Amino acid sequence: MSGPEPVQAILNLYADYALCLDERNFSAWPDFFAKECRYEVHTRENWDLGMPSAMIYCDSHGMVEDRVSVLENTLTYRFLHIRHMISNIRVHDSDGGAHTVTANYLVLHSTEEGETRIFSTGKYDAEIVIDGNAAKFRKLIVIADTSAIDNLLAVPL
Amino acid sequence: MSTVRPTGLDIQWPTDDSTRVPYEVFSDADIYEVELTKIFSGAHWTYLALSQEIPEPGDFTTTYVGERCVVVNRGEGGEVNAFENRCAHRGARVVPRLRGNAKQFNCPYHMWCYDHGGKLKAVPQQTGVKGKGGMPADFELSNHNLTSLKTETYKGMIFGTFADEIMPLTEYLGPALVTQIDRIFARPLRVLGYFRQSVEANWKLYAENTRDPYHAPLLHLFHVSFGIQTPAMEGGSYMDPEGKNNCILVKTNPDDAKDHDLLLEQYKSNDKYRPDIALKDPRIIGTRRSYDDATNLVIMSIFPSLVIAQVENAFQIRHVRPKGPDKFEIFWTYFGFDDADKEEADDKLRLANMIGPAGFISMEDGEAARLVQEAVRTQRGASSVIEMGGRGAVEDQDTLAQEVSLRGFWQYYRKTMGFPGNGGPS
Repeated sequence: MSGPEPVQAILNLYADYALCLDERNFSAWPDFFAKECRYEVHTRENWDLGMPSAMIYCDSHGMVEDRVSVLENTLTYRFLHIRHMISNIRVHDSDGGAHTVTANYLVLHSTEEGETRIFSTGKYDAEIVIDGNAAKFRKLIVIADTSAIDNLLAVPL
Repeated sequence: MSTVRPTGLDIQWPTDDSTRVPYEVFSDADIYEVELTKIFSGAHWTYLALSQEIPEPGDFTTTYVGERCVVVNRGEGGEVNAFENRCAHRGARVVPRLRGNAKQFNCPYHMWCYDHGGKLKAVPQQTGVKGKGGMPADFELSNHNLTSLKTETYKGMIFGTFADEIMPLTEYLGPALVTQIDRIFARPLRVLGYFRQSVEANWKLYAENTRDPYHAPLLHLFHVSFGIQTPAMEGGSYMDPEGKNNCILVKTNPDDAKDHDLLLEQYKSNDKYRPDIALKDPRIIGTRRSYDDATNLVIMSIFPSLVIAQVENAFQIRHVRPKGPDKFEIFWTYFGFDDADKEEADDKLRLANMIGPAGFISMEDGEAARLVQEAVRTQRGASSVIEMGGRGAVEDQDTLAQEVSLRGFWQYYRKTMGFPGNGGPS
């Protein structure tokens, strides 16, 4: 078998995912998703109530691509530096070729004038497939404890 | 000689027709205190909750009227109650959770016990312990009930007020708004989720924003590029007789496609119209309509703090909750319809991308308010300019190129607050 072990590939996926968003390389963000994929950002409030609706809901790779193309081409939003801290990455059972992985995240925002605040914290519930040498998200469900969004959520979490 | 800077009701409004709004109204702490009293605790109806959110006896949910936390619940007999969440004893929050079900409400601090209507039922150790202590002999439970609100429900929306004297809810809303509410609420609602957007700006900047059809196709490139609202579309603004409530309506028209050349001309000074932009997965545009008519956009702004909206085919209630002069929360209740088939229900999950804090359109309104707040928060003696659509009398508008409906808000605001000038004492 060539390529890294699945666990290493999964750890690399999270590190590369964070790096991509933190460096504002938004157009590369869809590449972290498998061809058939799902990306949803829920609030903890809705999740606990069993409410179906997400703040961001992409049930196709095309919608994942649209999210960042709308971001880059059309949206008016505040420029902020972004920093993802992803921790407690835990690889659970694999099922049908996908690994179930949970992780915590913390996203910090800093203004151009250098003031930093916590923007969001929560967890990532993921199903990850190994595609050649790279791990990709087949499903990434973000559940934000920070249900109250500071102004707006433009850049994906 | 030093001049005392005018604050509160002493600030100056340069024009009687509210074509100028002094920036102090967005940051002055004294003005904000008056607003909490005269507007939010005054004779106005505030949206509290949906009736379906408290279906069973004992169900409760919490909200805010101004900054006062309010518990809305259903009593044993099925009636709707609302009371301020502040113990009549020493002021603690009686109900610490956002939602739930309770047989009675016990204040966590000293266990004073209230019924669903907020009536005080029991005080621990009222008669003392072993013959000592206790409340005075003349202490009457009935003198220490929670502060209750009068409520009225229309189309499943519960409204409340602290005022004793107030006009009936439908009269308060006005015929233009009632017509549109009846349309949107003709089918049974299903709540799909709540969203919260915390904006560092004065709540009135959002009241302006949702009454302002001028900005929509300019700030929101997504609006104009995907034909949700363009300046060429058929639409207008319709108010209640007091000018405090406003409904922006935009309709689709067979001529919309022909108007692209007109748009290219109108947008030649900027890059906000991008007919070249396409979606990889366009399933969020042009979904099968929940109401099969030409209505493409409805933004109802109901004084002081409620917005009911249809954006393309996404429906929402937005409750604006002030948090001091320089902060507010938009609490979104995103809904679909209980009788939806699978296609419509699935569409609604995708349509959530249009609204809320991550909505392709609505996220920008919070940013616009923040940008204004940041620039005007220390301005004294300067004003905004509101002349699009003309000066003078405030009337309904059959165009989207206007800001007259903002002046309707300000006219009523000035009168309610007691500022001198148009509509108020001079």
